Amino acid sequence: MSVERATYQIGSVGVTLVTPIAEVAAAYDALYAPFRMSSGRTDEASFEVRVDRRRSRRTGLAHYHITSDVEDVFTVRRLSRVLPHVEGAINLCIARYMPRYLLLHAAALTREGVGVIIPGGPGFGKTTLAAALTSRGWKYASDEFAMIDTVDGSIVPYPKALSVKTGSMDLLKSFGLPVDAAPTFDRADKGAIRLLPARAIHADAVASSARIRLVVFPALTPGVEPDVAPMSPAESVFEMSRRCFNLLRFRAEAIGILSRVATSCHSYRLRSGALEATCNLMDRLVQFIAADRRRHARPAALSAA
Amino acid sequence: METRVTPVESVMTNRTHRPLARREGLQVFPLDDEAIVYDLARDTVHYLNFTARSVWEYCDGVRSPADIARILAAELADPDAAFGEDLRRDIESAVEALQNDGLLRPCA
Repeated sequence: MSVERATYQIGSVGVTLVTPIAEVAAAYDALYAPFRMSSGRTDEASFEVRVDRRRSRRTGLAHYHITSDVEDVFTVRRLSRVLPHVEGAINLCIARYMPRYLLLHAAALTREGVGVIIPGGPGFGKTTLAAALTSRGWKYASDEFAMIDTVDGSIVPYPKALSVKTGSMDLLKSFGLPVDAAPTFDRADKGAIRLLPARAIHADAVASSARIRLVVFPALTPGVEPDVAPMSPAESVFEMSRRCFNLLRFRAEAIGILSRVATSCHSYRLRSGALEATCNLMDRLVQFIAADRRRHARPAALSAA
Repeated sequence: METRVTPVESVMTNRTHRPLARREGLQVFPLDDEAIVYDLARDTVHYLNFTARSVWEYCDGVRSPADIARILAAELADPDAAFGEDLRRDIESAVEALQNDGLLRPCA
């Protein structure tokens, strides 16, 4: 049985998938083909994930065994659960082996060079909002966790496929998103999901690194007009710290990093209602911040001249 | 009849209580007039709004919550006596919260 080995540079994360299972290799490649590295080489951080099919000695039943640089990580029975667990294995590798990054439970995007993070727990609508904003020309950095560079406080992109729950599909279809064409998988925590590559939304959808200028904490409130309320830097730091996956790695240093982020950006609580109105509000916020940056940049540019 | 005294009431009725802020094992990040405190012993993060931060800074083991309320009322230049009573209650609640969060030394 031949073993396929393919290497991808997905934003700042290098992934090599090794598997003798053609369906798994093909499904992963369908999501990440634009990131495939023909040279097999990647940037600084690269992880290898291997998927094998084995048979249990005890029960005789077949299962899929997903291992990574971390350890033996997952065993699943159904093929439909393999790819979400491959993503999970990569997430564990990032958390353990990319110590330069603070990981927040947040979606991350950029617009006009403004880095935006949307922290929130499961069910806060991060992915839905990120997908809708991407369809309106925003650039996508990640949907489940934002990687923050601890040196300069910028968003570091890891544009993995957006994990769209079936409950959000109709709404996102109304935004013209090609969710019907996205393959269906199964996640233990979310049920049936579609994995939607950002480049399927538009060709130029993937973000570059950007300084965080806007932090928005969403709360879904159906049926209301969306609005925002400003937050103090300390409130913002506290809420970000609650969403930080690797807080215990950095401990107090994480608070210092988040404090630098919060004091150099705008933070808001967002009461999000109808998706289109929420996107309009997000557009206005970014336009305001981008204009504010231009106003403040002008005197420096003039004096430099 | 049994009367239960809640922790908040116990602080409010204990007029001799002189809270003392714990400083060791904490890293403080002042942000404007608020602060984030990281407890290195418990790996917990605390958000102190303006009132909580002020109260914590005045907890020197000498002043009572009522003393702290008077100082803050003067700082806020609040001429409203009713607000002053509210402030005193806020201060006592803040002391109780700080105590529960381990940001004050245990009562002697």
